[in-house]
Amino acid sequence: MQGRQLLVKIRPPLNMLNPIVILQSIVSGLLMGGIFALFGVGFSLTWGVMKVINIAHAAFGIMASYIAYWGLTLYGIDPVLSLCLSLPLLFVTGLLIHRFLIQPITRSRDVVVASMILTFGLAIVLENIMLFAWSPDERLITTAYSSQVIFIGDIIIKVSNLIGFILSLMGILAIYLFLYRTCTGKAVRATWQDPEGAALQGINLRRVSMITFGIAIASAGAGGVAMAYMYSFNPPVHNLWLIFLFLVVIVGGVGSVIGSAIAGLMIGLITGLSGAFFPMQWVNVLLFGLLMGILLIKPEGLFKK
Amino acid sequence: MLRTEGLNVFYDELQALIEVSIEVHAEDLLVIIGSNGAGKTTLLRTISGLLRPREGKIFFQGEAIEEEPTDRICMRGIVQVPEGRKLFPQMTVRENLEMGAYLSTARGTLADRFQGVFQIFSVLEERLKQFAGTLSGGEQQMLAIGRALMAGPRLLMLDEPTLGLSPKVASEIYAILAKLHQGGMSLLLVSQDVLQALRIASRAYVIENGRVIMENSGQELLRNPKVKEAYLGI
Repeated sequence: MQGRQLLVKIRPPLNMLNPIVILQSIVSGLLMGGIFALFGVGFSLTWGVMKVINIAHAAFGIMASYIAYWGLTLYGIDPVLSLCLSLPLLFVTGLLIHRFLIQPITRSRDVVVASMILTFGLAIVLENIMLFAWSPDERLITTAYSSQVIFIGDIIIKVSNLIGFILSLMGILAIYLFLYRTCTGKAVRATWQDPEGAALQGINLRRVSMITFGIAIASAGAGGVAMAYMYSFNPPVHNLWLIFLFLVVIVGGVGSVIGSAIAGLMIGLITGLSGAFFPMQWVNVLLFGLLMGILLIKPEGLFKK
Repeated sequence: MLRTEGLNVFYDELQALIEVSIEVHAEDLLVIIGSNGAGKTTLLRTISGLLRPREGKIFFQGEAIEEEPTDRICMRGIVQVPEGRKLFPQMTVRENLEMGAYLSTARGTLADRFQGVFQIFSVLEERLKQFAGTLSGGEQQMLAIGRALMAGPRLLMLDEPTLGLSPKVASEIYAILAKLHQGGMSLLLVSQDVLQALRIASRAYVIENGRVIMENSGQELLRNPKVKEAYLGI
């Protein structure tokens, strides 16, 4: 009898054994991971190349979510099309912020700490601007295709989630092609690996940093729009995303674009899978327990060579 | 070609160069020797714009360059192979060489420059897809010199190019530098390998404690009793 009770206690919940639930969780996790990955790649770029930890990174993303929301509700512009406006706008904003805020602090002895304090302030400013402009109410992007779903066997995929995921992958691909196929992109990678060595090749470090920051902020914008396809958002939600950004970059390795992309997908997958079986607070315990473990065993990140 | 006049360079309050004046003529192979901490590397870093002199002037082809940033100095044709090579370890040999030709002036003739480098360092052609960080020490040094040559330098500066290399590889590197010099390139070489460096030098300076204490042809300095005693242990 006692043995039977024990069997009952350790028997997994019914849905854990259901392959459809598992597959559905994997798909949902990967879709979510795409956004983590795109956000993480941009965050990792500024951290790796410039030693700037941009606490306001996710706030720029939420800003792009609102631009998309406004475009859709006021003018009926599809969120993907709104990127034509928000990406150049955020890129230029990034250049200006670098020129007038980031560049002066690069002379400080501890750029990492100085950048964290500065961008923490910037995040608060952005959050309050958004609160003023759009109120603290939660918003959700609802397009004509928001309620449409695709069936792959028994797996259900929301069209809007799929669009968000494709957008994320395209963003990551664009950054990858920039870094590995263009001369300026290679200069960005060279600067990250050895700034002095890069300067001695005639690479203008200030220009490279400026472009990197602009691209990172624009990528946050793409991530924000992708995110808005899947989740509701309000101004303070960037704080929650920021925590996951740290997780992605630390797991993937600071400055490693491919590492951050894989880590983002991996964390999405773990979140999706474990979310199906455990309460949300346990998912976070699992994720951040994983983070602590990685910091102890491989502090440079899992994918850093 | 290059002239420094009364350079005074400091690290905070510590003076590393004191009234240093040197001159590199066109097609010179100028060698600077001196013990550890004498100021040789500081001099090259100052010429490259990585350090700013508190006093003094640097002229390149008649123009003052001491206030210019490193990328601008590089654009003028002063290219440095730094101590420790400073390669990009997670980039391939090809990408490292491409970075050498980063400046727009060098980009037009990329294929020719690649061929020029491969004629000197054929091993690099075989390693094109390999990450720089996985090369041997000698190959890394060849890559560092090859990368500098990709820029088409008017003045090539090398800081301890044979440090940590086997005597055989070091001799190969010196032979290549001598060949580049014979081909009409101007070189400024900093080295602690006094014997090998002075053998190929057209002229040389001796720096001690941040000051230039001697200047002569390479052969004359090799015969100098003070140089023999201090640097060659003879």
